[in-house]
Amino acid sequence: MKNKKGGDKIISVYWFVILFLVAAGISYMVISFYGKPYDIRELEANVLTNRIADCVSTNGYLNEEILTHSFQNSLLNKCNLNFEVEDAYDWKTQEQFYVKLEVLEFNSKVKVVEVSAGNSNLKDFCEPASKNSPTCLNRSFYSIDKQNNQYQVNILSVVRKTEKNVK
Amino acid sequence: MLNKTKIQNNKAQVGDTITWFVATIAIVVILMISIIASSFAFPKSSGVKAIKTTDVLASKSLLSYTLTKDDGGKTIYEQIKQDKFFSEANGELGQKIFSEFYSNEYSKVWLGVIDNQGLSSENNFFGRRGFGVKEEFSPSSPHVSQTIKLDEQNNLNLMLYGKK
Repeated sequence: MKNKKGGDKIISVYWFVILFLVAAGISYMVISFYGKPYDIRELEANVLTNRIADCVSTNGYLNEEILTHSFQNSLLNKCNLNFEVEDAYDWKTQEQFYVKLEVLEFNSKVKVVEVSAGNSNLKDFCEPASKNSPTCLNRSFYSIDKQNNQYQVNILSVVRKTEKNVK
Repeated sequence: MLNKTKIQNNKAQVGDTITWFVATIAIVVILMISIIASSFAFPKSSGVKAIKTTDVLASKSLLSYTLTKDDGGKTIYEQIKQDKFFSEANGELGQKIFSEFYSNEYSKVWLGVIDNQGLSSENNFFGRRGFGVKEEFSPSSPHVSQTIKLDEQNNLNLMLYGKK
């Protein structure tokens, strides 16, 4: 009878060891899967690019307002954008976005418009790209105006927000 | 009598211990396999990737391209709708736009006329449309397909396949 009790005690130690092992294993797997933040900066840069493109060209034609000074002085207002970010990691004092819009004549590649908004320092960190550098997206599309002039539109979007997206 | 009982109890104890020892090793091995498998199954990715089936900039380019007028004042849309193939100038312009802008982003770029069924069309500027039904409708092979209807039978199709 006494020996049986001793055997039970040894078994209960095993129980606890196994319990901790399983708990530790599950915790490790959960932490390794969810422990890192999702890096959504590429998606943000894509959304920003698409919004600028919608603002610049609608129904296949270039918005001719972009050739005016008033547009070039207030790109964000004209495109209904703001670069407000949450008040974390000192982001309020250091802008986290940058966007540059270039319109070139399609054949000659002569620059017709160049306008930018946001933190211009960010574009210097695009190359070489590394894990901790801002996400940069440089895309182009073709457009025409009502007079059938052909243009190439280049949009560079840069998103920093490294602290929340990279670990 | 007493000695015999003790011997029997000892045997039971040894049997239980071996069972638990083997069970512990089995659990540790299974856990290790799970952890290693999960680390291989979910590699450390650089970011969230969305499966892209539309490309706003490419569709804007395609629309502007079709609205572009040639020297005779006819739009590319009208020319293709009438002839069902690219004229020399329109084909070259298409090549210049879509190959220049999107071949860095996609591994295959194709523009041309397809009929409602046809998946095997070809032209002099973009070659053969080498995408099958399987590739077009498989979520594991992301692609962007923009289509502009020319008439009841034919469509102008821009196909961007294989995000780089």
